[in-house]
Amino acid sequence: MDQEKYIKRVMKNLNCSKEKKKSFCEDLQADIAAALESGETWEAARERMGTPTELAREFNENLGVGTKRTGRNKIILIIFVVILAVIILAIALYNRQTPNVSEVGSSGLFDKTVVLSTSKQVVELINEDNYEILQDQYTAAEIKEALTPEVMLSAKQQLGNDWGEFQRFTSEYTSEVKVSGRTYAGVEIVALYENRSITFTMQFDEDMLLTLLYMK
Amino acid sequence: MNQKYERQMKKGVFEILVLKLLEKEEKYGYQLISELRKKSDGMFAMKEGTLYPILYRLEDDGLVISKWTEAKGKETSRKYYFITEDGRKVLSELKKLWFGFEQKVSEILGGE
Repeated sequence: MDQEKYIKRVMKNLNCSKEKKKSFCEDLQADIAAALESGETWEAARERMGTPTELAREFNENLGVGTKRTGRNKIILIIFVVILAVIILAIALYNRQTPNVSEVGSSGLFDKTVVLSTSKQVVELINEDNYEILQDQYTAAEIKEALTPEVMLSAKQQLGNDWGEFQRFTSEYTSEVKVSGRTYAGVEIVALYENRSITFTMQFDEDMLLTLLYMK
Repeated sequence: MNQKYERQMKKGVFEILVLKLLEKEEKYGYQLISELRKKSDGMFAMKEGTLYPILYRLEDDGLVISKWTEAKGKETSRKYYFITEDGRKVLSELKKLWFGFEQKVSEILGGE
């Protein structure tokens, strides 16, 4: 490392005012020149002064400015923190808007047995065309208005008029969905009838009231 | 011994030694470092990272002033440090303090 590089590196690690930095740069240059003039070799002078980092640290300590991060490092750190904050924010926003699916009961708000038995009761009410009770007792406020007996009847008819007698449930699947800060229990249950099978998709809120019902 | 203790102890006397070296005549940085090392038989091998902060502090306090010389022939331009009147006063006060200090420390250290 030549003198110029050495001094440059020392300056890079200094943590003082521009004015002091300039003074030290000039003093150091003059000092090295004086050392060389007095017969000391550059290698010996460098050894005596220590590495540029050591020299800068010693200078910072003795000037009482500590070994704080240099301006450049500070900028890099700030940029890094900002990027990290943006990433965390993006993840948080993504999690909030994207349904976060997990096993039912994992939030402690739902019980799998209750979720399944309630969804089966809903299917039984549909089987019996008992839509008033379904609307009154099983639906959440946000869909209560829409889920009228007429709507239900027409939906049922769209899937064919004659389902035949209910036989049994052939498959059931439950999950828990967290979206926009709210948690729901999701159920997909397949009921077999004499003439066809129907897949019911339901979503319950924390009070075990239907917020979504879909049949196909 | 941990070098930290030795360094710490030496730090306390550098100011007074620098002022003393400037008492008779002005000197440049490298000269101060070489003279101090020679006079102390290597005990005070002060580095640039220690000397200059001391000189800058003394200058800020008005105890020394500095002047650059013109480059003469082979000799490059040099920055000489001069002691001021205030610097001389402080040196004399520090000297008194040091002798009292040294006496008491020796008494305590030499005692039971």
